[in-house]
Amino acid sequence: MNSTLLSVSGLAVSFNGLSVLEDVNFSVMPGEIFGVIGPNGAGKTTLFNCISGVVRPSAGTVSLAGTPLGATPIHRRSHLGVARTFQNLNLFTGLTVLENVMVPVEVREQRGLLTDALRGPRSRFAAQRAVERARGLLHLLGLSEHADTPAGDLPVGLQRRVDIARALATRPRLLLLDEPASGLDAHETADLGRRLPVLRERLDTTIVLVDHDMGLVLSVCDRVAALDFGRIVTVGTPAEVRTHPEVVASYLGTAVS
Amino acid sequence: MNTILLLRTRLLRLSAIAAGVVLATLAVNGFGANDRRLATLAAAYGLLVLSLVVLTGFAGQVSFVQAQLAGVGALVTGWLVANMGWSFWAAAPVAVAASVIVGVVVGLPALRLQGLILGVVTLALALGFDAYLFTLGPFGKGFTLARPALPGLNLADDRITFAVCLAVLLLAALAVANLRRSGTGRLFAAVRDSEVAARTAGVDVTRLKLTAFAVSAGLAGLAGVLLALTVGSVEKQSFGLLFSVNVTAVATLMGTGMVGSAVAGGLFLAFGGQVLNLAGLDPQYFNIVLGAGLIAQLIAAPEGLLPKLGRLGSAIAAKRAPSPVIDTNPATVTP
Repeated sequence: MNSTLLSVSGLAVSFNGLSVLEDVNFSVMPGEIFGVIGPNGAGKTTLFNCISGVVRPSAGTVSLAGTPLGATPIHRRSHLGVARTFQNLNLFTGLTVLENVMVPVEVREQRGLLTDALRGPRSRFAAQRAVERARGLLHLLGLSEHADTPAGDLPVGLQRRVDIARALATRPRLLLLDEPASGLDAHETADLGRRLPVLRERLDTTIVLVDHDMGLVLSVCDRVAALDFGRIVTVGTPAEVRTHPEVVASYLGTAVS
Repeated sequence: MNTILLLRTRLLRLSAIAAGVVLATLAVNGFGANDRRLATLAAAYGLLVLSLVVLTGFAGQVSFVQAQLAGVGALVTGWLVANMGWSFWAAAPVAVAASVIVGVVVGLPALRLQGLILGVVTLALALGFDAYLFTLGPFGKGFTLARPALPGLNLADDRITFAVCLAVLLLAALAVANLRRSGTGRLFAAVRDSEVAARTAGVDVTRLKLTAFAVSAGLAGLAGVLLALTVGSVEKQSFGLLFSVNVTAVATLMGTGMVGSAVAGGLFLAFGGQVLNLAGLDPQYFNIVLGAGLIAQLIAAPEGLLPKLGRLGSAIAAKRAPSPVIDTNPATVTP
């Protein structure tokens, strides 16, 4: 199984003795759209925090393309190809939509402080490249007309797309989407569901998606892991997970047709 | 981007600065000796306010130790010139470098702390400077230094000193404005707006914060060097905690988000007492007026006076000018 992009094994997290994740194992193949479902408090966001480096697990490993991430800090993981969005967005509200998406591009440019203070040619060319790349991503996400709007002024639905564009600007190998449908109406959620496979193709990335919108997760994902009380209940295709007795019992109530 | 156009805007900016310096110097020429001295101080204080524009306005970090960082610049200049026999022009860059190094050390707590707690820690650091570091060795007694010579310029002339200080302030302000519009400026803003999102985007937040402290300390140190130049004597009492608090208060009042606050804040700090005097009030009430102004501003215009005025100005302008008719007909829009 050397071809796995993301491999999570024996992952456990506890806060103050309270176990949030317990012996979580799964792996994601390159190019997959992988979903994680589970009710509130199942540990979905904690799982993402472990993969992106915000939370240090108490046991177990997270590996990217076979390399254990260990104690690698958040920004190094970003350079290794791990990108994520946030449930609560965390946009750079003092910047415009375009500038939000420029940040990950510009942090990858080698450029001196002095060049920036003097507005030297290297500084301007770097900014120009960042503008071009950011505009491309805004176009892809249908945000072009909002490029110069302060990011905090947009409605939540559009802010979610800015967050995704910003994550894509890091050129991720692995894109983690934390509750991308939260705050979206049915129409916007459907729109998001149509965009994800397109993004995967166009940007050659792998997507792991956490949401409690069952419709979205079961319709766009290749495989799904069901999480409950910090444990993996089952991993399988949407059809398998949808009919798994424990999943049905614990939080679907009745099977989604 | 058109290189010729860019060169032209750059030339235009520099000419604007030169024109500003000449005009201000002509104006100061008509001042009395005391007002000339205050105008020169205003330029140096402006650099101190500018140091907070970078640190607080751009990077979102709090500091009550800016006057002490200026003190490092001034005291090191004084020590090198008065005691070690250095030329002022050799001492100045070394003094600024010393401020930068001290500033980075002062910034270390910011790697772990934020907001109020960071403010309290820098306050404690400022006290440490006042009560201990500035009393060490020759620093305690202070220094006296003569006006240095500069080929072609007579620095003994108050007007020339003023022009030099103002030019330094405006050039520094231009560099800071450039920085804000550049990639570094956007990375500062990312750290200010959301540290976790900045990290996730790949920003080395530790490095960015220390960079902000270094740039800020460099500007504060430069302010100290200018103060040593204009005042001619350096005493640790001029760089105490209360002055630090005043600088932070004035920067907040004017709005740390705007580079123009440096000029406005410098003028306010230097001429505040004078204005009170003209209004028939004792200059001792300066701190009371500042405090009351700060409270009023935090309620009415939390982003600061200058941004508020700017917004009011553009709102009035928008009301006066008829709104342009936007032609959306594709047939008449020329490419």
